[in-house]
Amino acid sequence: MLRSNRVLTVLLAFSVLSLSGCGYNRFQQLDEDVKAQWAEVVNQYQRRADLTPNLVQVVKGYAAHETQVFEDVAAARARVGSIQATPELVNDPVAFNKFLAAQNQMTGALSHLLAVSENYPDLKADGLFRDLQAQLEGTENRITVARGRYIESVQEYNVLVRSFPTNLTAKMFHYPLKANFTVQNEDQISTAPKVDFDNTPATGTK
Amino acid sequence: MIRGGARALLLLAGLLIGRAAAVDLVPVPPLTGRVVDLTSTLSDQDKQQIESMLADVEAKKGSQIAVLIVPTTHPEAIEQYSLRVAEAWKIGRKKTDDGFLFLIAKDDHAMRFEVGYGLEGALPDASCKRILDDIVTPPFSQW
Repeated sequence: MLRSNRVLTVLLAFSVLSLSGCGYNRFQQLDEDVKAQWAEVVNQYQRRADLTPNLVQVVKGYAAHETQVFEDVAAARARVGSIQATPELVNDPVAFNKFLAAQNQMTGALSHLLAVSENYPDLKADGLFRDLQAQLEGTENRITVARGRYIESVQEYNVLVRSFPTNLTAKMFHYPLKANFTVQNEDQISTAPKVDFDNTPATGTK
Repeated sequence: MIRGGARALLLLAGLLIGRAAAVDLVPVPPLTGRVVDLTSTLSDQDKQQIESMLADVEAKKGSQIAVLIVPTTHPEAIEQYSLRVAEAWKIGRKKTDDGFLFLIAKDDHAMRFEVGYGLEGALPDASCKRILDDIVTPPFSQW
């Protein structure tokens, strides 16, 4: 009797504490915020993937024999397409890194494609090519912005998960740390992919 | 007591130096008008003329346009700096997000249109690039 009473008291105290003072609502807010920022990242990556077939088509019209580049882009696009970018991805570091690796491969393949295009003056003057290139640049730029906002959002969320006493709330209601872009792959992305014109596949992804 | 004071001072100095090193970025200038020229490239008359044109656009179409001329955006890329300016200035109507910033980094020979989300339908990337390359750049290169 005495024992169960004590348990009840502790439980009650704990629940009141965790619901009001321990950031439960803050978790809701930040969790939603991370989701929204992640959606924007995925959205922009998707836009990039949608642009590539048209871009490849135009480049092919002027440089059909650059088969290696087209193969690389096709392979990268297939890999990107094979990964379901669900909102849950941010809770699974392994899947998250797989997604990133695929996107990085795409970044490398696309830069290679554009670098090759530089060698064809007629292609560079093509109106459609210029439009697509502008769209791609704009999209890459939006990807950078979206990633930056995602990084900030996850930082705030993860600090809450780690800090006391909100870490108890996180444990109780299962709010795990979320995957973020690490310095390492930030590095990969900010350094321009290496361009070489021999037959090796596009670098800059590894 | 004195030692404590000296220590605090040292700490403060350290903090300040650290801050100064961290904030090497070009600051966002205050929004003093539709045209902000930090390079004194435009005469007062030019400025007034452009401002009245931009005010006219806003009166007719609703979109707000601002022009900023800076010497350089270094060490940031022009895209990063222009986004910072756009976010700080909050150009355009809030709900429609239809602000437009024309940024010129004179010494970098770089220009950029920063377009609010609400204007991207009317001014997609491709159009912006065409306008910049075909219409804006030629007279600029004659300067």
